[in-house]
Amino acid sequence: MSFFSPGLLKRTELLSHLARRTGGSPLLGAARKKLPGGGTEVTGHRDYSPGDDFHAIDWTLCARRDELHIKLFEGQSDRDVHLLLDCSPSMGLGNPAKFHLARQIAAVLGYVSLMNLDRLVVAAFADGLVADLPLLRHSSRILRLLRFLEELSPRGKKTDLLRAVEMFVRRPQRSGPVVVISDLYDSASRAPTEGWSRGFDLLRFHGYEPRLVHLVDPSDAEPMLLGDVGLVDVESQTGTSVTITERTIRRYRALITEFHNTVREYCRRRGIVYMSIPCDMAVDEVFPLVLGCRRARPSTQLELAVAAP
Amino acid sequence: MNFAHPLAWLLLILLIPVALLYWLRVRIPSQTVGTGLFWQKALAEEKFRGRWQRWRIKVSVTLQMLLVVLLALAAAGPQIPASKRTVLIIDNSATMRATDVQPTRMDAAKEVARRLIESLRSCDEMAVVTVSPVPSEVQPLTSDQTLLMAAVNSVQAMAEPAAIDWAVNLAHEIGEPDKVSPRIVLITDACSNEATKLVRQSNLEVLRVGAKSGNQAITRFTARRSKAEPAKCEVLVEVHNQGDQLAKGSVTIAPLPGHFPEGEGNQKLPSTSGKVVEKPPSLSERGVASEGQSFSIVKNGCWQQVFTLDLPVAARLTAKIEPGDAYIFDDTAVLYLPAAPPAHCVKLVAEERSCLKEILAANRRVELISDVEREKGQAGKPDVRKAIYIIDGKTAHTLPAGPALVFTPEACDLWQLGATVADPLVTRVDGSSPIMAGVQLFDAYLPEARQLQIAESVRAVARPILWAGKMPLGYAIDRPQGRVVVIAGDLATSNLSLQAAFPQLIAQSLDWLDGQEPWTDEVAGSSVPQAFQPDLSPLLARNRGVESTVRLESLTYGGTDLRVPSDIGSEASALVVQKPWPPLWIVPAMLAAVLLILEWCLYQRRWTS
Repeated sequence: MSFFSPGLLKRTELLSHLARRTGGSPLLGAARKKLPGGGTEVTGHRDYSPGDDFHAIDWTLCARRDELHIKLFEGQSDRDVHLLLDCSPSMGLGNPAKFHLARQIAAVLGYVSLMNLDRLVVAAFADGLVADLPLLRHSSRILRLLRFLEELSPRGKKTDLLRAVEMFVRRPQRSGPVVVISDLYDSASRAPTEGWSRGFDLLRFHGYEPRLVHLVDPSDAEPMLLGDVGLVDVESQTGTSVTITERTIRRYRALITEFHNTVREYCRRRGIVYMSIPCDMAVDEVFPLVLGCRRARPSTQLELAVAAP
Repeated sequence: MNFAHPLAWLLLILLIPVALLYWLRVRIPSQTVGTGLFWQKALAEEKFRGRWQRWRIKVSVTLQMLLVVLLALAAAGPQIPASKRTVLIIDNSATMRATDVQPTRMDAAKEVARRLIESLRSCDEMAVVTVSPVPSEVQPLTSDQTLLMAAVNSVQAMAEPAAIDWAVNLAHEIGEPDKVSPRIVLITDACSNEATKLVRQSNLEVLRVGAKSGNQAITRFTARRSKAEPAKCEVLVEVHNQGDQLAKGSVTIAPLPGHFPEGEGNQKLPSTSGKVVEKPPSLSERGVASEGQSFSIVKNGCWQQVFTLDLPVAARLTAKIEPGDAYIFDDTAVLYLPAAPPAHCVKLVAEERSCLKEILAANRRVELISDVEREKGQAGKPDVRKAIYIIDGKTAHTLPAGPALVFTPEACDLWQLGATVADPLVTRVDGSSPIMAGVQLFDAYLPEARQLQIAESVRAVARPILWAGKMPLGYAIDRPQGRVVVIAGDLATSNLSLQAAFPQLIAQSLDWLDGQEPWTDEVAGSSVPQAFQPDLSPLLARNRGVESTVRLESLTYGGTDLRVPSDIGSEASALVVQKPWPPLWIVPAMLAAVLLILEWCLYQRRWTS
């Protein structure tokens, strides 16, 4: 795998062990939940959904109500971890490309999830869901995950997280943590903060636990542009000839900063785990952060905003 | 509008690189960004600026092209209005020397001309033409003000009248090489009738110099010696008042200093008294300087006075008007009066009853001598051995040597007598002969006149001087031994001696026989400026004391009326000359500079807010 070398895999395995001692990855979470089956004490019932263990069906209640219900037990159980990977054209920018780091983070998170006996769902989105990896279970399927990620590339026309989430939540699947790895350049909306926030709201509405890995291109935050420039939006493929002055640059920086602050504040208020990672950050520094092995150093631009739910 | 340097429009070629640079410039570098949302928002807040930015490059290239056009325009040297062509006619006739305008009218005209030249723009052309004595182009068309100034400074007032009509024609020829009517400016005092008429009829731009000044001019100054008394002379002075006021003054006749030329005419001149004068006394010594003769002349009037002077020697006389006026050149006139001609020694051979004796006795230039005096000669008298024989009849067979005037001829060695002339009435005389010049014979009848058959030996030098029909009745024979004049017919019975012109015939015959030129009895004078007294000695010597060719203006072309008509043209001193505008190329050049600064600001503003 070009994006995920065997050395990285070994390092990830090592870091995952360390992460268990420190409470696990903040992106994946480790909360105990009421799960169907696997426990010892029945705590309740819920509707049956495809994929539920048949052994957990409460046949008595089914006979009484003529509906399928499964029994919920208190205790550690497997769960569905969803990875939504942005593969819009804007992810292809950056040095290195944001998409490259996004795939590595997705691979790490997926590996750790499978190692934790969670079920893993990986989907790629742009202006909708453009690629989908069927439900994975057990760590032996790590190669399939890596192969799927290897085959991914930036595609689609523009980022439309809301539409992708709409497609995502309509699928018959269990809710669970959804890690969105994206640069949040949602071109489908008029405002920079409009489309992605509605997508996150929709996820939360459908019971998912969204987490955000915000990949930032430093060249976007500090553009080296001045004078007459033809700006080409990589997602809409539209060009505009503008004359950029220092005043424009200042205004642009202010907008970028405001955007980042908005994203951070949105996540903080809704208890969404938020992690902002520059795309030029070294993998050796990114992996411990993603897995929760250590906190971000003040010298880095890594931002971690975790609010209490 | 025309342009001084049309080739400068080639600078418009620079528009091509400007357009190329613009074309290359619009291909700005493109930059791919993840999203254009932030850029749009950042740029949208500067809405006006964004709108301006869309036009900025177009405005910039427009400014650059306009800059190139303005530079080309400035280099081409636009001229609004078009360059003018002016022909400046300066009147340099005699009256322009008048001093009623200080220092002279000529200097005032030059000053006006200089102001006109200074008002020329660099693209304007001017030519300078003078009018006297004949129109001449002093300076061809040029825009070089240095040359024009030098040409104006070189113009001098002449002594002749103005030929303004010729000058105007010349000005049209000079100014119309391209069929463009030139502006013709005439600086004149308009003191000649010709100029006045022309100026009133044409559309010339006339600048008038001088004032309506009066002038008293000596218009005639002549002298003649008395035929009866050659030692005396009569001098006629005529003064004209060319002014509107009564003129009062005086005229003085006096010799000019150093007026006696040491020429042929004044060396040992014989006087009527028979004395030989070694060195003629001056006129003042002789007391011939007249007192001032007062005059009072009405407007446009004339005053004449005859002075009688006892002046046997040659002299140069000057007439002067006191007091002087604005034109001093006609206040003085001068003439050269030749000395009284020498006397003729005559030996009369005639009968007692001949009328010739009385006729010759009445001629003050004739001294009759006897045979003894002729043979021996006398000291203190002219060479009597060259005395002229005047013979009436009794002609010897051989005519004596020396000059002779023969009436009632008989046969001799020079002629034979033929048949009697049938009708001896004098019908024609040879007016070209110095003997018969001016002699008019009315019904002169020579009875018993016989044909004169000139001897073969002198026939070649014999010239008939009067005829009766086709028959010559008189001859002038220029033989080596002495000239002979013979007139056929009996003088005693003819009416020839009764003719009024007979004494003139005798006098001219004696002059010719004596080898002298005919005596000019009247000498015309000329006006000579005080400051201009030419050395006339060579001329006088060549003309044997007869000054007849040196004549200046007032006595030749009829006056020097200085009255400037006030209704012609405009006063030159009131001429308001507009200062020439700065060259028009400065305007586009300054606009180009402004555009350059503007474009530089626009260029800088692309990088800084």
